[in-house]
Amino acid sequence: MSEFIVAKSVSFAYGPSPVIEQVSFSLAANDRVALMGDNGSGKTTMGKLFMGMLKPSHGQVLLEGRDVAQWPMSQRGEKIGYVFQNPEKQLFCSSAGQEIGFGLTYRGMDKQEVAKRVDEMLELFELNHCRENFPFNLSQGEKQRLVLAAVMALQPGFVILDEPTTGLDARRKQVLSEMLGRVADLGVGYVLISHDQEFCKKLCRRLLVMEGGRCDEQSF
Amino acid sequence: MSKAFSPPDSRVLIMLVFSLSAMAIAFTDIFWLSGLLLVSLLALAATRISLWRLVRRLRRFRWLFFILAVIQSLTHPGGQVFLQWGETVLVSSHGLLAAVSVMLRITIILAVVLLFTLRDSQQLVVGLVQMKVPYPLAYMVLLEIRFIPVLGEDFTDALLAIQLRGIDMKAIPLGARFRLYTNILLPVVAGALIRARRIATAMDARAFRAYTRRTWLDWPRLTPGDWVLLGGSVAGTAIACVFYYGGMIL
Repeated sequence: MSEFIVAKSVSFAYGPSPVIEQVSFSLAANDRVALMGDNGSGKTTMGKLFMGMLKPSHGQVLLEGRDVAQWPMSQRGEKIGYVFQNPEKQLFCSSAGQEIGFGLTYRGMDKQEVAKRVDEMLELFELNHCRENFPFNLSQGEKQRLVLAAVMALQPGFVILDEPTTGLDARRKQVLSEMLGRVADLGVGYVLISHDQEFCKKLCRRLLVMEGGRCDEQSF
Repeated sequence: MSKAFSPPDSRVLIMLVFSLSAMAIAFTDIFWLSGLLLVSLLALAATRISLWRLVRRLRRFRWLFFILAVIQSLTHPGGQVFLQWGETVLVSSHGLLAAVSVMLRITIILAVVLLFTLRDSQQLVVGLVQMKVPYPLAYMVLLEIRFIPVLGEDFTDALLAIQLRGIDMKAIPLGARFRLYTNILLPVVAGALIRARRIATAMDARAFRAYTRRTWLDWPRLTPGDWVLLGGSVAGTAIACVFYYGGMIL
């Protein structure tokens, strides 16, 4: 299996004390990975290191064999979709339909092609009923799905979701898990940064646990 | 063992910032503005605020400096002309002086505002209340102080999120880039409104403005050193104004 993201002895510190120390692992393109750990254990930091939003103090993160920092941010976004913990930070348009087509339009894709892709994503993520709705007026679960749909419209090879179950009740978690199942069916791998062991166990094949700056592979 | 540094009282800081920035706005003479800058830098040094923090802030504003300098240079033609295009004076000695004064003015304000970092926002609110500012108004100031860095952070996040949507901002045409900036403003403004609504609800739930007076956990008293600084800043401002405006009248 080809290695999509590789962390090589990655260390990172916000201040004098390190958050992440000498962490190494690799993720394949269609891996389904849970990244778990206590609050402040460095899960979100690890996710940001994958995306090159943070620079490791030591070591290297490779995206398709090349240092992630060498990829322009827009290309990283095409390769890896990132869904923030707060989806509101990723909503830019006045309707859900426009939101999904937003990235594609600015990349100069043909209008008909954009419309087709938007329709597919609205269908896939069961958002047809809110196509014309203002994204900020959607429920938390719908906002999560809308951002995921917008990210998936770019056809990335991998998706990172930061605490996707925050603020979702059992039914909405179920809906989200179905959507992630569809993402996996498309051959797209994902990393779930989460506290929710039950949710992760259902959706992931690998479990990485962050503790004391270390990251160990464990079984569920 | 050296004595631990204790920053001046919030009221002293408010007075210092107010008087220095007010003079920076009112005075136009380049030598006076240079003097004010020197006083501001001395105030930072005396309160152990690193000058690098100012340098970093100035770096962030470098484009604003440049644009303002160009505007000032174009709108103040006069004196010796250094560069001309047809009948239009592009760079002149008066224009350059106007540009330098604007830059000095901004630098002074950016420098003195750093003095506020010596006290947390709650202490500044207490300072305002002790200066007889009504407490709802003082809290409004506190919220604005809290909101500025949050808005900056939201804007940075939105810029990052835009790029993560596969959009290379440098590669798109200028017109589309302006449209894109309006899109960026949506999460920033909407986020600010949502946050403001939540804070307003939380404050109402804590009986904010339910009574005309309220008690304060800390009610600091001015030390002799604070009195000297406070008196010094009031007297210094008054003397500077008398000399500046007196000199201009004479």
